Amino acid sequence: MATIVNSMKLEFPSRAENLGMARVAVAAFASQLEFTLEELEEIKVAVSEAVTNAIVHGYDNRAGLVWIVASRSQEHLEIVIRDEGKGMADVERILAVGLEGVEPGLGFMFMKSFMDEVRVDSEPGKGTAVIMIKRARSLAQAAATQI
Amino acid sequence: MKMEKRLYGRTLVCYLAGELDLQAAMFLRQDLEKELQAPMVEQLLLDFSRVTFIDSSGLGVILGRYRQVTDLGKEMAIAGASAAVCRVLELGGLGRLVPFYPTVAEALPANAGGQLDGNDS
Repeated sequence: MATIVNSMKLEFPSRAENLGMARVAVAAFASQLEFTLEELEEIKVAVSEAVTNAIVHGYDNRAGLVWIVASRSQEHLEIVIRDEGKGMADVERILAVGLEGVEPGLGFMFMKSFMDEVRVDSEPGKGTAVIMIKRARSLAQAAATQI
Repeated sequence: MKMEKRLYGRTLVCYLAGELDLQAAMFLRQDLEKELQAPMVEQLLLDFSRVTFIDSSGLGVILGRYRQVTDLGKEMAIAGASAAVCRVLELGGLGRLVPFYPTVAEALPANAGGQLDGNDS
């Protein structure tokens, strides 16, 4: 990502009632870039999926902490959602869209559909970090049409 | 997440309101599961016109109820979903499984027998 011009951090318990707060906070931060309303909705879904994975799969619905760091350049938004839960051994398999009908597969499918880039760093026993990047297309497209 | 229910003939209309995520999913799953067991219910119509957000947890509940409806030999339809909600439902494959209608009134069978907005036609 290009030079970071702003960032935010959130830390909260791995409780489902924090999902709404997390996605609204990140969407509010993302609105500093020129995303369309539709793109902001997509970001909310992606954040919801990553935080849900931390709560349900990272911590098995037990108590834990979730961290979100969002940062932006002039055109890009990067969101890192991290837990210190049980981690995953086979990230590639979890990321596969082929797990149709299985909720974790659907969650990652939405993340991949709605963000430009999704990476997962995970290690069994140490936790998981989901890194997602989205480019503010409207801004880029507006610039392109003015040339 | 809130849900109001009303029976029109043999069609159970569930008016969902709010955000359909992990927090809402458990409540919604249990409530809908129970309602679908009622013998007089032959169709389930989910009104999404006041649903402002849905993710895979919410979609999972809806897909689960589709399987339940199918197993029971009943039918299911969706009404009133916004463009953003519709996109998630379609991406998750629900569009291939159940019909989508713009409004509850358009989705209700002609012989539903109940009253809708004071008009029983």
